[in-house]
Amino acid sequence: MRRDIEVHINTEDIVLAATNKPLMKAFRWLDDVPEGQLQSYLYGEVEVSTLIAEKVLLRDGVNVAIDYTPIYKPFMLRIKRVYDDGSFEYAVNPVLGSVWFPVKSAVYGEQNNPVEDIHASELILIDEQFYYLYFERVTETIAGKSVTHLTGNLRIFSACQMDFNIKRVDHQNGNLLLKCVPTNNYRYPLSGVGLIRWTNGDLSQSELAATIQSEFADDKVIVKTAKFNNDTNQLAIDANFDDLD
Amino acid sequence: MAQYKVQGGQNIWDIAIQLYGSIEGAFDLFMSNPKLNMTTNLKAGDILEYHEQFVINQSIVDAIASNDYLPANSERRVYFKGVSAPLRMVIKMPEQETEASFVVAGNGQMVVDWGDNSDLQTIFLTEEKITLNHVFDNKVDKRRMKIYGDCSFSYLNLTGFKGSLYPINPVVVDELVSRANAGDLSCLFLFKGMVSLDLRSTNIDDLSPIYDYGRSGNVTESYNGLQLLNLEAVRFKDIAVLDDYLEYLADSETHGTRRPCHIYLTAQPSARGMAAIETILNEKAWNQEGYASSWAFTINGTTYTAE
Repeated sequence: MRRDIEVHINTEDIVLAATNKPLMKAFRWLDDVPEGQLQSYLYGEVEVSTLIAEKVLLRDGVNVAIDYTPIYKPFMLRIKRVYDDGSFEYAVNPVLGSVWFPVKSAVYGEQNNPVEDIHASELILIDEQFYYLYFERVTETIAGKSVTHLTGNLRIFSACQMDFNIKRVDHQNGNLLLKCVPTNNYRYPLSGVGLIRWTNGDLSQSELAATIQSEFADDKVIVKTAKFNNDTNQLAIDANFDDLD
Repeated sequence: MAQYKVQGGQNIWDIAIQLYGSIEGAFDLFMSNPKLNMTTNLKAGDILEYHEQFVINQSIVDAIASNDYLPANSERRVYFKGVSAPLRMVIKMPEQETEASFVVAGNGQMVVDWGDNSDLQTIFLTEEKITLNHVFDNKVDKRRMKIYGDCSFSYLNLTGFKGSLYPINPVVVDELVSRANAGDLSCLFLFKGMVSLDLRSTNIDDLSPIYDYGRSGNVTESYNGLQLLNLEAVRFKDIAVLDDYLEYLADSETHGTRRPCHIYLTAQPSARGMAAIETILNEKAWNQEGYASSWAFTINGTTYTAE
């Protein structure tokens, strides 16, 4: 069995796969500016269960899904902690003493001011829909001791972690071999069936079958049958991958 | 020393494979052609010199020659595209689209990242309308175009453009034409300074993005509000979408100070919408002298104006 990095057969790009499945919390923008708050900001609310202790919430942050918002305003969020009976309370920002947390990002950050307000319409720069909100904290040395405390801001990141996808590639290798035209591959310049060379040709009279068998055999794969489906324009190959290292 | 004439679509490595049987032959190409380097953009017809007696893998050279193979994998510009100009819009293109086209005029410099392997395209906008056509040079499972630049648009025609625009920040667009498009209209929220909007033959399920077009605290000589709105042949999700917009215009609180606008319709508003039109046309303060024109509604060829 061969394992390798997954490659998209049509786009020829490496496939990036999500390595996490974050649980998204309910999110909504408020229709109006809350009383006493600045008009220049947009306000939103994240809903979480009180089963998550406030201490854990402030430590771990939350994931939310936010659709594209065509409003060019910085924004603040509040965390609505809902009890089983439907009653709720808001998490308190220990620095500002209110329920609101300004949302900051390093997208436009500079060396002297690494984190700045981000506008709602700019979120698409970070991710198209899924975001991780982290309760920002800093570590300072006070009287020789290292002390970590919250800054009162929420830092926003993409919630998606992506990585290469490692998978069994018996069929991927076969597909790439069928697609590869000789001279496409610089390491093995003569390898490849190059199916496109047979496009519009009379397959029954061509050397395609022999070429497929030969190329696969060079890759230690024994082709048992190969059928071309004229309805779907797909080539179905039944091959023996058992002897592969 | 022999000479080789570059064929269409060949890069340095293709030529090295063909002449030497290995990409390592590129070193001989570099030595034989002092002006050649890794970033040289080879074109068909270019002449390169090489040592024909220097072959790394003879069997490959022979096989390529006897089978009439032509190594031609073209240039692959997959490097990071750095742009110093500010990002203005992200455009989601349907991945099955093979090309994109739009017409634009305006001021300033616009840089387009077409979302494929092509180089960035810089356009110096003028009042002359230019058509930008681009055929994508790769296949993707998700295509995102980006528009950068310190620019404003006096004219933007997206008719036939299949992408959905997502402005990052407010963008000045004086005249927008987007006929028979099915894309997301939420971009209209961030298009500012609109004078003329043509959405003919579009499917519309929400007009709220244009509710406040032309609404301003002060109307001055230089102020340009929305003056022409063409919604002919528009298929509304529900006629209430149109009625709600007309009522918003007719409400003295939400009407604000607007320059009068000529609105073209083929969909017939309901009684609620017609009542709103009557209110707008009968409100003297909104149709006073001093404006270039007064409110007008053309519905299926019949024009209603303030008396």
